[in-house]
Amino acid sequence: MSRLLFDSARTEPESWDLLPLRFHSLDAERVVVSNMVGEHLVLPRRELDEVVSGGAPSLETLASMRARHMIRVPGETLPVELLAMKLRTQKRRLADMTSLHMFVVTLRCEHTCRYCQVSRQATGRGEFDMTEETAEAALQHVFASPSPQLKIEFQGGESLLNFALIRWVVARAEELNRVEQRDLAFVIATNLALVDDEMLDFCGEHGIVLSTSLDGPEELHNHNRRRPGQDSWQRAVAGIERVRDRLGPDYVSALMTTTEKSLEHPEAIIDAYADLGLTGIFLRPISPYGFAMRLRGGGRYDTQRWLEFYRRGFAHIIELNRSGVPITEIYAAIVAKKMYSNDDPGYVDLTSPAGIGIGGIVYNYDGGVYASDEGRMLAETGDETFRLGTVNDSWRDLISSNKLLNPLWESFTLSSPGCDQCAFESWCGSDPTFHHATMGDFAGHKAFSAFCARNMGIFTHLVESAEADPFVRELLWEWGHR
Amino acid sequence: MRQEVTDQTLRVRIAERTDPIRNLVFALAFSRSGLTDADGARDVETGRP
Repeated sequence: MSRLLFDSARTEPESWDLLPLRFHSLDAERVVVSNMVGEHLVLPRRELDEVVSGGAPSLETLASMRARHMIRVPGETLPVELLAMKLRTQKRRLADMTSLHMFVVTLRCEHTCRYCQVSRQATGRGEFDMTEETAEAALQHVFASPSPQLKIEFQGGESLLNFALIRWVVARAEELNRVEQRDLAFVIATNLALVDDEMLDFCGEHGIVLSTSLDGPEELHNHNRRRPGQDSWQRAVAGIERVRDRLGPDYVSALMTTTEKSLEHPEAIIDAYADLGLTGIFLRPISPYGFAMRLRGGGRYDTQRWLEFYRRGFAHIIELNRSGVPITEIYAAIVAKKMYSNDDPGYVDLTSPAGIGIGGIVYNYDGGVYASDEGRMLAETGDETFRLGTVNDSWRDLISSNKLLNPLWESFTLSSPGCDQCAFESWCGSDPTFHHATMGDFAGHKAFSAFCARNMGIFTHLVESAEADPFVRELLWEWGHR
Repeated sequence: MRQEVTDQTLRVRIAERTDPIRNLVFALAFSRSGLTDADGARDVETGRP
């Protein structure tokens, strides 16, 4: 390949070498090209052909690709050093190991949500509560993890039904942390239906954040999330306002789940969040695990219908922002951080190696230890593939077991067929639980993978939207740098 | 279909020419991870340095 890299300056050598790059066709005329660490560029297809074949691409193309370490001047070593440094930075959390520790403090719940993935139990059945003895053993694992950041997330069932254990775990973890001196944080996942001021005061004293479920407007939410009195929405909204009034706005966030009934209402769902003053919404598909796939679970829709829902929702969020209402689509913000920065957002569902076990780990009420919450859901229907052992096993045995290492190894995107040459590999992640559940294989066949189709659909939509509209590009850039 | 075949052919050409550098970047990146540094490593059982 011989050609001046910068015609005007005339100071550059006259040829270039290719560096590792990957591309994806946006349409017949354009491709998105990415380097080893996910820095990207949209080019006319013919320009990429010219660069690869050593033809006559434009100087602008050459300059842009050189700036993104897609090509280099022969003999240059700095681009290789920079790529290595950026890659090492992206993967830096690997050495820290598990930071998210999920405690399923009870299976009891007073809701009967259509899409509930676990076998919830009636509220009076105390045998489905985690005991202090189990929690103590789990806490030893929490602090055996070398991660300097430790987050303990309490889950259910409805976690507040076993608030006494939450109090005990928080106190015990803080006691252990006086010696350990880690960056310790707590989250309670709750429907907020049972929250009271005493609980909130405890949360305030210990910096415990509450994460709740809000599926959108009243009718939709109460259709999905049933409880005696059909007042789930009213209680969730009242709970959100109560937390904000007593503790402040940063103490509560909400998550939605997309059921089939949700698909026609992305704008109304987003407006429900905006009306409550919530500044972020995570447009999430239903997880195809456990009991969610029953007919009444509302999870029987295909990826293309969900992507249409996502695109409509994303467009509405853009218009809200354009009109001065600041609201973030959280998944797009996670991806934007990968698109526009070299920072790792630390989101366990978009990492490779997968986040199972080494990003987050689950301690079930009965002492079972699972590589992921989805793995626990699978176990509820008889598939114990992701059950690593029990809290009585050693941390070493749990983390180094083949039950964890095999899915991590087999699903690693940098060597997984269909992923290693994908332009979006750096933005994406591996999900061995999903592919095991849907395809019976940890890596999965990407041509038929709903996980792949969903993420490719989102990535291409974000790239195209940013290309088409400077406002979107600036907004994504801003989300990516928070 | 023709476009897909063309794309795959181009991917193979790129990979053939860049695989050695790709492997070099990986080697450079992860040889300095700190995972093999006894001073910085933590005990896998206790999590303590």
